[in-house]
Amino acid sequence: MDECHSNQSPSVPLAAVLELVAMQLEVAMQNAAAQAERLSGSVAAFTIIGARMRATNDPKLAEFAQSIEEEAARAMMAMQFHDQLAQRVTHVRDALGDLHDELLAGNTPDWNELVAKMRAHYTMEDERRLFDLVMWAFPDATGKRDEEALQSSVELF
Amino acid sequence: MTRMIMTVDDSTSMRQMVKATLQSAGYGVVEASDGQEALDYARENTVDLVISDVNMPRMDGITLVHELRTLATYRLTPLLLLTTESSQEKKMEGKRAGATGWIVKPFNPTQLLATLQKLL
Repeated sequence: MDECHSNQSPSVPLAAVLELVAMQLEVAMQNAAAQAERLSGSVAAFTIIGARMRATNDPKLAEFAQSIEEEAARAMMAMQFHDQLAQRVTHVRDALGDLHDELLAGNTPDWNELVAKMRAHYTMEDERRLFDLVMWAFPDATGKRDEEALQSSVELF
Repeated sequence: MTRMIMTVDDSTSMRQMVKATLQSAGYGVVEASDGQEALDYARENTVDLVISDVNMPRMDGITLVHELRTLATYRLTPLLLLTTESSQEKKMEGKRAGATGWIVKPFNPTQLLATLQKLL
């Protein structure tokens, strides 16, 4: 372990560290995905149970059904943050992958080009803003999560 | 007759939740795990509305919308994109491809059903 990569250019062990990080993120995501599917399956089941109770037209059951459906809807919105989290982790992993590939190729990267390529992996507005804040110190960038990113929005064209 | 809706997402948990929301309102649901699977299904079958994620392996949601619009049976079908993508640029790309609407995740089940009622 002590001798690991000791005779190589510093970019080689650095690339190995990045690869390790990517693998650890992948394992963590796979483990979490299995549990998230179990949870979302349960939330989905409660939604259907609520709908079936409502369909009986029994006033007492309908009252219970409304509570169940409201709770299930809240849980459903909360559960979707796992999907967002998985995407955020994937974006970080893919951006680090670009850096890893450059280091391994032994190139002297064009920094601006590489940063632009890494930025392209981020698809959410608040991810891009945080990236710009840290990488470019954009004065109008903010690391705070945008409240809008926490809310659903529907736009019909 | 039961209205059929196709939900397209590479995330199993997202498909489960969209499917349950739609079924609770009486819609029939077909699932596809990426754009290619959805397009293959659409070439052989007709659905009344499609709700698709954008970033997916094999074929993304915007390409799916573009391809569906080339099929005569899907020229007027409402096609909604449901995504974490909130950039105006990407939204316009979806609109140009022929999408009917853009929904940013997390979706609100009540809001989603109200949107479907408007479109169907």
